[in-house]
Amino acid sequence: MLFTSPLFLFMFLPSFLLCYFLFGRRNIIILAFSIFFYFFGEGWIVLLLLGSVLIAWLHGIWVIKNGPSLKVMWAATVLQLGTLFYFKYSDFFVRDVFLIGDASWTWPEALLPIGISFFIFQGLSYSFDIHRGKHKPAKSFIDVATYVSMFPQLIAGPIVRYGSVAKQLQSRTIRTGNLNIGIYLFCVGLAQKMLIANKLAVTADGLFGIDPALLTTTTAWAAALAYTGQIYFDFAGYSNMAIGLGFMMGFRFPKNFNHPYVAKNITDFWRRWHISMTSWFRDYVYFPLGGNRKGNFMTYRNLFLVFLVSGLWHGAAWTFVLWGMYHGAFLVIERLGLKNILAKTWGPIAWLYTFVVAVFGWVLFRADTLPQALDVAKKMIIPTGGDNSYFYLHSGMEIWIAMALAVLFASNFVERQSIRAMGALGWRSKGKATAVKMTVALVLFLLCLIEVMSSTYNPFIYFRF
Amino acid sequence: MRKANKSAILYAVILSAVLAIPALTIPRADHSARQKWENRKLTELPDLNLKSVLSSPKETFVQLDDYVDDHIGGGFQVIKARRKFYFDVFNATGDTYIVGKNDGALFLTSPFQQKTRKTPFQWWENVCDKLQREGYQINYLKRVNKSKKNISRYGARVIYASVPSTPLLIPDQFPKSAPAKYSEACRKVTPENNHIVDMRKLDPDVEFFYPLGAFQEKAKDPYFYPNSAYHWQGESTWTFIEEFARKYNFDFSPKWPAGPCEYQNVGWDIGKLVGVGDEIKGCDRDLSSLGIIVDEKFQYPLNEAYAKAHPKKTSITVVKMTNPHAQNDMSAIIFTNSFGPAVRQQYASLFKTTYHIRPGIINTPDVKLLLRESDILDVDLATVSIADFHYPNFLAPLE
Repeated sequence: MLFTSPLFLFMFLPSFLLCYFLFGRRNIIILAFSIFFYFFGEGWIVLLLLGSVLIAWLHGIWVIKNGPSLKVMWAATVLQLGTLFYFKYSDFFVRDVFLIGDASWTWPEALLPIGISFFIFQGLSYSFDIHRGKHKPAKSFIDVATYVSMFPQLIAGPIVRYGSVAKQLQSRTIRTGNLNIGIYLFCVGLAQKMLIANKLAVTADGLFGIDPALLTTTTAWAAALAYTGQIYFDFAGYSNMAIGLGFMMGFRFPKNFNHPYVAKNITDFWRRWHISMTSWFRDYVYFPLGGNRKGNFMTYRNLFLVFLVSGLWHGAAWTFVLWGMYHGAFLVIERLGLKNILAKTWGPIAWLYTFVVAVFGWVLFRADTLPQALDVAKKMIIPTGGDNSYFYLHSGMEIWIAMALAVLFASNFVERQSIRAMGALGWRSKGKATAVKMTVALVLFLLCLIEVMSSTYNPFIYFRF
Repeated sequence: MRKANKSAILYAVILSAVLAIPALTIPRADHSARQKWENRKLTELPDLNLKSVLSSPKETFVQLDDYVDDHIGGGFQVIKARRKFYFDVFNATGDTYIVGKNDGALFLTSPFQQKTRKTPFQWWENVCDKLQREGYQINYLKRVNKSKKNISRYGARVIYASVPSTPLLIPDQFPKSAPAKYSEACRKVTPENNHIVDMRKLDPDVEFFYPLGAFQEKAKDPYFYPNSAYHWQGESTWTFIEEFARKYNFDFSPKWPAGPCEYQNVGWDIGKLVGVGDEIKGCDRDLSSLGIIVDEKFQYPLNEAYAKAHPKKTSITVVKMTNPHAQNDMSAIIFTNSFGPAVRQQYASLFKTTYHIRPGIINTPDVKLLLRESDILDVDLATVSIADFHYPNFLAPLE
């Protein structure tokens, strides 16, 4: 069930809010709705989610009764990662890495359960943190299950650490202010997804869908730039919707994106992009590997390894692995001295370098195959003329508007200017600021409502053909 | 403690109620209007009893999701308004391969089936550029002759009758967003200078019928070949057969409607896919007045030897049209693509018995089987008809 579907917006969400606010035992309500949410999309694979929860909870119970044990922590980790590996990576490793089997062969039952990377990582972070003594384990299965399976962040993040919600799971007070912030963030996220990402997807999908041999330099760049906008607004949109829903429920989920496309080096880009995942890898992979404490070579190796793994986390394909290595390589190069040079360089040049590196990275990320990625990248680099008519078809006025909005909102320009304008108008008071935000939210919601409902148009196409 | 203050509870309840309005109004929404508009049966509510949900949760919930999509209150009105707005303001049709213009003109620019799409403006390129080149015409003629040899093996006269379609009739109405080279190329195709004229010169033995002059003349009338249609509608179909009958001296049926056509709704076309506008207005005549008896499921028998050897396949379904008012005893067959249904009864009115075959609807092996293992080609006239002849693969099953 997507947050942008009529079923979620007009049935699931109001039912949830009604039950959540009218009845007590709010964690049980969250859990029940979250299980239904997952059961709705994945059927009995919900048992896998509950299994992951059970592993985390049993580990916690062990720690409560016997104290931390490295063996038990490893057992929990192997079980969680084994599940993830089987469902997400077995087919890739067997077929593409070890080159076993033919094209018609797949691992039996190796379906990819939606959100598996997110809930397994949440379960793992719980295990790691309670083992290290960073947080007290939860006694209640309900609390652990609520934390791991909470529907707002279940399928697309952010990856919430147990520590950031542990207290709120026990005690939280929901005020109208929380609801206002939640509604505002949800509507902003919905608009990012429906009004910008989905429009840019028309261009990106259209152009990445054609034979790369037919691309020109113009269409290759159009494809890459459209996807650059699409992936950011799609992902950030989902994250904002999740954070907004969290606020409505009285939780504060961490910010997941912070205008990554304004970054002036790749290191900074990764401090702003999918922050919850980057910090997860930093804390649970990079630091345990030694971080930057074991000399330069080990630091570079660790950085590279972390990004290789993070590439694999995004998907079981060579394109993702290479995308991770590509970013890892740039991080190492920046550590080797490029970052210092960029710091002394004129800002727009540093920004351009970062943006172009990110755009080429997205080509690798988006392409269905490695040859396709290389073809598109080649067309972007080597001037290639030809027929641009694909671009005409995949870039109407609405898409130009979406692209303009993408440029405007990818930077923090609007945010800064609106704060300044509200200050100039004397609207800094909480009441006026809220009124402005809620008006914006209402307008965005109505615009998105039109898009959500329109997306259900499905005429029978063969009526004359 | 997990508390919510009273105002937050009240706020949440109001918010829930407002959000639930589209769902609560499902019973009151006009679903039949949407069903008619989208030309399909809307998804039915799945069986939501616990047993069926638990036994097949994914299937049940997918159907429930589709049901809500189809029935959500206000959805139909929002869709119509939004599509109209996008079309009027942005020229956006919602389908990449249908381009539109503000005055309602719509053009399908590439084959409808994804697998046969090669370039974005494939139709226009084919009709206005490729077809006008001699090399393409020579290759085309090879295929035409191959199909003619097969079709005429019982002695039938074969005419290749082509429908001039919108790229050649209203190139001035191509949207500005489309590359100008296409409208320029299409404007250069005239009754004196076109691929059919060239192909007649290259091979005078092939009979081509292509009333481009008559169509271009009348296309200024927006009701002749409505500009929101990819397929022809109404008066253009009647004109085609009138010109055809005059050229080849076939007697009109006494039931052929006299007098001017009448302005009326003539059906739907690509506008339905775009979801804009109302039913297409065109100038049309009463088709039923021709009195043609149409059997859509006629089982044409395969020859005895074949049927005996293959008892499971003894016939192929074709459309058979019988004309009680025929002025002759002639039989005919017409092979068409999707443009055929609009003209087949007018065509059938010229003969006593007519068969209509759409190779795109019957699968290729069956068409080949029918032509090879039956006497369906034992007719007086065989007509192969396709818009502008810009789709050579159409001839493949006939070769």
